[in-house]
Amino acid sequence: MSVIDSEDQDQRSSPSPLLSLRDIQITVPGEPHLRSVVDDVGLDVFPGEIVGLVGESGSGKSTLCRLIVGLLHDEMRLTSGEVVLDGLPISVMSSYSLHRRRPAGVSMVFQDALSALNPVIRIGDQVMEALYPRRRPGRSAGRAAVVDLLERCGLADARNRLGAYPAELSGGERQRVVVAMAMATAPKLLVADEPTSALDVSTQAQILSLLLNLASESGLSVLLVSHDYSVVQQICTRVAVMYAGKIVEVGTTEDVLRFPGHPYTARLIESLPSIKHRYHRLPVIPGRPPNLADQLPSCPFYSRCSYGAVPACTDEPIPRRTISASHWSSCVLSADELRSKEQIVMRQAAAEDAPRPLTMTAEGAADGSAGDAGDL
Amino acid sequence: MTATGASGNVARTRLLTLSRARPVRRVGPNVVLVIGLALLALMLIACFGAPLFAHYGPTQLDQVAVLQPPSSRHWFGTDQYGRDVFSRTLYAGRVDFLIGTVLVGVALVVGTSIGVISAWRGGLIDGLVQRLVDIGFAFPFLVLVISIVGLRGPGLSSLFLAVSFVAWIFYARLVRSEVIVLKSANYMLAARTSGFSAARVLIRHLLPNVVNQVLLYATSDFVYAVLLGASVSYLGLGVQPPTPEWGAMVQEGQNFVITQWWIAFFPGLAIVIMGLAFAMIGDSLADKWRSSGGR
Amino acid sequence: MAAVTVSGSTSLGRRLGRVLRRRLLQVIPTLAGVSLVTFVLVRLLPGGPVQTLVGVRATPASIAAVSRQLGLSRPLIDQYISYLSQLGHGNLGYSFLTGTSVTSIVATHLVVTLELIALAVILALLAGIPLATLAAYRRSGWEDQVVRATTVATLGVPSFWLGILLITYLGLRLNWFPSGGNGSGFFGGLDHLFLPALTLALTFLAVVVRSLRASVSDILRTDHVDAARLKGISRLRVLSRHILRVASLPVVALVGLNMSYLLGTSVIVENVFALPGMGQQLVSAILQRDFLVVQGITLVFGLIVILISIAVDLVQAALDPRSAG
Repeated sequence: MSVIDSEDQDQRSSPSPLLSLRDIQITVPGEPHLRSVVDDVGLDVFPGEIVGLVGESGSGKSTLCRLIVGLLHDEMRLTSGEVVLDGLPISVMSSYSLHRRRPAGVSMVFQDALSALNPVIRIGDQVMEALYPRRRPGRSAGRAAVVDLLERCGLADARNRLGAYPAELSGGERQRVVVAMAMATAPKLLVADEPTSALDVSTQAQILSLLLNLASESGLSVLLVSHDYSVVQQICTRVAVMYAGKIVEVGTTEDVLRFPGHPYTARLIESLPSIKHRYHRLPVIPGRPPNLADQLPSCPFYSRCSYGAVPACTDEPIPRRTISASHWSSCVLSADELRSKEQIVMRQAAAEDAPRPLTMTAEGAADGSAGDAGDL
Repeated sequence: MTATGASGNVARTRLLTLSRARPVRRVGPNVVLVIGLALLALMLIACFGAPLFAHYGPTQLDQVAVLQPPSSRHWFGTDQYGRDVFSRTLYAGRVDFLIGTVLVGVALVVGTSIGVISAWRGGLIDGLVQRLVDIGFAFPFLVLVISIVGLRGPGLSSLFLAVSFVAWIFYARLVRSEVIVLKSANYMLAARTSGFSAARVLIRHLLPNVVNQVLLYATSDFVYAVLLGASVSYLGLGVQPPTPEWGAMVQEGQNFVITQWWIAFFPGLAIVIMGLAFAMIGDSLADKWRSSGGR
Repeated sequence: MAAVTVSGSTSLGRRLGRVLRRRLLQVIPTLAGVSLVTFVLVRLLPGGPVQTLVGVRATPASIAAVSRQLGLSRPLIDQYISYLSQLGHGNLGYSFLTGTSVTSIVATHLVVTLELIALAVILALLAGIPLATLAAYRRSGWEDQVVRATTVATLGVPSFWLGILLITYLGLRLNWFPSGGNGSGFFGGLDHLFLPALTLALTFLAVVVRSLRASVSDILRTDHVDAARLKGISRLRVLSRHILRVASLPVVALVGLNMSYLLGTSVIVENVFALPGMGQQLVSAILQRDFLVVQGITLVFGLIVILISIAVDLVQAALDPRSAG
């Protein structure tokens, strides 16, 4: 499989990717009637960049995260492909040997901070454990390091919170502690799996800006995974869209937002709620997300795609179509075809929606097109 | 019981999507269920059909063949009075199955009724029932039972009386907590607001869910009831001689256990096998009902 | 191995105090109920204690005489009040046969029973925790199946039968352990306690393994165990600090829930092994129709269950910083 991502190498300061996923296929060996959890996935993350990975639950994005950090569930197996981090093939390493190195290659931030923290151990001790997994530091030196790290992650009054238990902290504070634990291992890549889904919007913004700061301060790369495109759009420069275990589109955040190259992405962006627009009917993707037992054709989105099927949609395999230098999608329709079909679909929706949806925006576009969805 | 309760759900739900796709498991619960039922049926037939299978009467003495080891004439050997242990074991089974049925039956019926009424009505009645249940649970069950039996006088009727007084609390507590959860469940509210009468809602919607839990509990409770009856008889406070009963038989064979091990061994083994049968039944039912989403 | 601990702001003492106060309040009505039940037990049972005391051939006159002597002919309320006041003074009554106060009987024999139960719990946990952890780690593997099958098979094992078997083979045939009675000194006592405690532990083991297997299974799949693995700490450390430490909570709860069962079964076990604990005293009092002793010991059993459940709550509060109390 040719790796389109390396075509934008000249845009990067360093030529080789920090993280490289190639031909990843993850299956459940014990249940052969289920489809692959992750199928033929390739992705690169370059040093210092923040990449987003968007997909609904069941898309395989979380499994991919677990693969990258070496914590794949026992029931699943990497049946083909490899993960290379900074030149090291980590997919064949045990998780212990992967994580005992300092500085670590990769670490992870979890969605639910409350469950990511041991409920019966004080947060100071938990961060300490991440900083010094084996040797015991001097008491004051250890404390100082922990306080320093927690302050860097924005925990207020860190010095006096060391003895607190996770349940005593607020959601945002807990998430900061989890980030601190992840940063304690000095990783080059931080995988953040829905780090803000359990938080309210203002705290979300704080955590996202924390990640952004950490990335720019220390040259850290971040893989930000979310089901919510608006989260990804805030801090990611590039984004990959996943559906039913496959990556269907990769591009810069802006490109994908304005010119989505895949019907699924288009629907995803369209369904983002917008303050500016008032809809009579919220745009919904018809059908339901596929679960693992469903057998899907080579384009997994086929049954829910409202752009009209063409015979090529069931071709095996769907080729990657380059839209621009750093933008590709796996839809057989060309960019023009897509756009014209999109107009048809819009008009259909508008016709069904009588009276027409009101637009409260002052800036142009009365067609409620997806391009304005980035309000948040 | 899980320590991490709700927070553990995040990890678990990711795996659930896998297992729900496939209904059949390794050693299917149905196989275990069938074996358990067959074993139970075998025991029941053997015990209640004892006259057909036993070669001797349960109290038939034979001074000559005292303390004989297992042989082709006496499959389980004979005891110190020359009685055939195999025949006695079969006849004793009748008594023990009877004990189990009566104890569980009474406790189940009384306890379930009280539990349902208490949970449904709420208020003072519920408060009173809860108090009684708490007090009942404050005593070790066996202690209470043997005290009552002892004070009234040993015998099977005392045992039944004692257990009837107390055993309902297990079912009452189980049922009460189930009903309280179900009472506020959404579909219950929907049924009530649709205008169904309380009784109808109770019978059609509530009971089927509660019944499964109760039956499941009863399968292991049956074994506990027989163990209780056997323990009380072992102490000399339950079934009185010469009526054969598994626990009493163990007590009778106790002193001979070094040399004539068979007298005490086989009756106890019978209890173990009965426990095995019920455990298989209960376990496979629990598996079946859990994976099909029923409770 | 221990990490440098950082000082905390949560007060353990405050948490314990809150739980203690709440439980003591809760427990008062139950205590009253328990005393009432034991009172009623003895006086209102058909057949009555006097009848059994005096015997079958008693004349109504002798029954009346004995009743008056025992104070059983007074109105019930009077009897209950004097009963309660006696309890308040720590007077549980006297044995008919020996004249010893029930309180002193309890005092001498309670220790043995408590030791038996403590040792049984320790043995059950020593065996059960590793088995449950093994089964949880190798879920659906053959280890798991074997453990589950054994759990299923042992539901119906009678404690008295098991005790007799253990005496026969480990006690008498192999002579590893004494077969009964109570030893002197610490090691002598332990020696005599071992087989009864083992018997008790084995009857309880299946429940322990089944419940802990489920708990450990759940814990293994939580995010914080994954987060711990990500830190690069040793696998042993992950197990002890992040899995077992958290599993200690359901273990404590489990022991608390089963305490009633353990106390009940200890009565049987004590009788099988002729261990001079409360259970043995209770049974001999029953057989001898010594009804005040029966009443007193039953009451004490009730008190123990209540006290232990409060103790379990306190331990849980101490272990779990989330318990608000």
